Amino acid sequence: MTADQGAQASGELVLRAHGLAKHFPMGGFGRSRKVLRAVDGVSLEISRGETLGLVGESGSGKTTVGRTLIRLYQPTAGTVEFEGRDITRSSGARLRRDARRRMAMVFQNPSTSLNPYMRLGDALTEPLVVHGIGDAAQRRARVAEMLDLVGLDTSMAQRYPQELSGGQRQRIGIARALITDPSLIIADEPTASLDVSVQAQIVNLLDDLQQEFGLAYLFITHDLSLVRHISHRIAVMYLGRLMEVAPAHSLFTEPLHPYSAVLASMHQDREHRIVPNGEIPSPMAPPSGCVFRTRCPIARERCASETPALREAAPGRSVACHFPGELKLDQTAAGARPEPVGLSFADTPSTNEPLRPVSVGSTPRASEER
Amino acid sequence: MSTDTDILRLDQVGVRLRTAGGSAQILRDVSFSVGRGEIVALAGESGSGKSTALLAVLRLLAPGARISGSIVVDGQDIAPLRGRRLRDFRARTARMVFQDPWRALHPMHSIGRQLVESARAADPSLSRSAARDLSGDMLSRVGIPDPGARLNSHPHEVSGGQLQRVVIAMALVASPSLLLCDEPTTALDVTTQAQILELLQELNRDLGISIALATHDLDVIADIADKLVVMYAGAVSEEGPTAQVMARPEHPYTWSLLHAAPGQHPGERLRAIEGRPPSPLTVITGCPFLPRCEHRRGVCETAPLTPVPVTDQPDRRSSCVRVTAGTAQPRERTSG
Repeated sequence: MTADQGAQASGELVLRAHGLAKHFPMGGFGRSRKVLRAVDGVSLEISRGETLGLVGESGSGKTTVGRTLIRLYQPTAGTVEFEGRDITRSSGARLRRDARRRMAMVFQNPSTSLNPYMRLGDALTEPLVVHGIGDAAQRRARVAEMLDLVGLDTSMAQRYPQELSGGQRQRIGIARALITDPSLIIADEPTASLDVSVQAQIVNLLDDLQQEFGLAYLFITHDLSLVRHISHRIAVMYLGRLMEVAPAHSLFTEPLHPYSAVLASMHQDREHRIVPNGEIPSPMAPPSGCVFRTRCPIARERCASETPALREAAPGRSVACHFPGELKLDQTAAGARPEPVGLSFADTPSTNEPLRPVSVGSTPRASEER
Repeated sequence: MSTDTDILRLDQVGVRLRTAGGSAQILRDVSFSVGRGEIVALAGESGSGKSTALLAVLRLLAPGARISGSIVVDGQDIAPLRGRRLRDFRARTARMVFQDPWRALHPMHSIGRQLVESARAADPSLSRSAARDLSGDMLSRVGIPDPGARLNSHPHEVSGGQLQRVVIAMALVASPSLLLCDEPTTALDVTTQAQILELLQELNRDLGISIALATHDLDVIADIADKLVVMYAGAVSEEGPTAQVMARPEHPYTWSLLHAAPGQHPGERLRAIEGRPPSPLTVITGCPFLPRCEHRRGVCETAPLTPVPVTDQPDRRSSCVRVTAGTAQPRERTSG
């Protein structure tokens, strides 16, 4: 999967959100009524076969965007169109038919998103029952097919969540998301609770599934290396608003928004990092004008008085800043750390002497294929 | 390998814990040292034993944990410490900064009260007001704006990054000779992470405080740690100056870990390490990484656990027999 392929993604739109807002009441009456503007005026599009990365710090509203798109939350304002249908106000059977069956969510913590008292087979069957898909035999076959697809043994259906490792549980989370044959997966920090070596297995699995089924992903994360790796395009959020949307490569090499520049500079060596002032303000009391201005190295008067709108800056790129591209990365700085050289004995081909088979926790199918 | 200049020295340290599932070997023959004024990072995935190694230094392990081997802090063997002497050691000599600052502070007490308590635990002769002055100075030292007002705040009024600074200040008021940090930036956002790491490096440079830091994120510590100790399944895989280990790993696990992280080749497949680490309940013979290693050979099944020096690189040790055999003798294939 490369950024170029992404640009050529079929163009068949799966999801379009326009001016999406989600405000939460935080108590108080009359004039003292407080409102948390978790998401304010977010517009996004995701095409078939495309991964849109959504990055931001904690409190930026990225999780709320995911949950509002899948209609776990009712949007305060704006519209959500999914597979050509407006689902903003759908409910009940219509919402289940139009949206829930074709959109699925993979959660951050597979340990808490699986019912500990349900066998994994039953947990996987549940979506089929809810949507009235197939009879008992077909459902069993579908569960077996899904377990195989995510690289787990079909006997796992009889097990309980606590018998699995974190990585295996996340495979179940993915299988459960895929079982109703969705076109869009919203993955909210799906690897944040996993170790690096296991994270790589899950990321590769998601890659394979995308290639095989043309899935669209909204990949929500705070991990910059990961989002750069997995996304075709990246949307950067800060305090409930979109700062910039750009192809993954461009965002990290030529960021237009100062906040994107800050994030991209974290990939560089220490002297060249742009460390912003202070910390993210409370979303209960966002700054006037541009929400990033209190931490922005190039902020000036206009930024406090006038809120910059998200505008198209180049084809496929949009940015919400009065002075886009002004804060530049130091191009002389070294990028990501250099690749480590091989091991001192790695000149010896490792296939010379097959070792007797050893049992390993799980044998993911993903990597065996290629 | 270890001399009098070391502030912390672990020698063949093992930690065994009785659990419902049997006896768990959490640490296996772990040896490493932290020199005075040095920053040493313990890197590894969950279950590698990096946090346990730090907790063992403070003797903060679960009741029933059995520690073998020796741990020497500032020339003092900590094994015989009991009661009051153990408390003094924890209050003065070595201080811990935990991962989650929200849980490290008492939610109902003001920040000032907790800092004063910390300072007076280390030095009971300090008056309340002197301790309060010291606390204010220390808050400003760690970059808290308006420290006088902050002393009266409670933890919930302060953001995560600021709170981690408070926790660091709480350790520093005791002027410890060793700071132990367990994943100090993991709970923080990326921009805040950079600030906290910068602070730790500053404190190391300006106050000469020695730091041992456990982390799962190699990129985070790449810039600040002088020395890197890579751990896997409770044992040390390899050890050496950070830049050298990152640029030229001498253990297949380190190599795989560096290549499994995204960021090397955007758009390409990640090099996942198949399988997962062994459970601490299993009895391991030979190299613990063997079932997941692409380079395994018959000789690995009986390999000793202890890292040995890598030839021509006196600062580096590796527990991979293929590396050490390959460099110790003219390079030839080991046959099993």
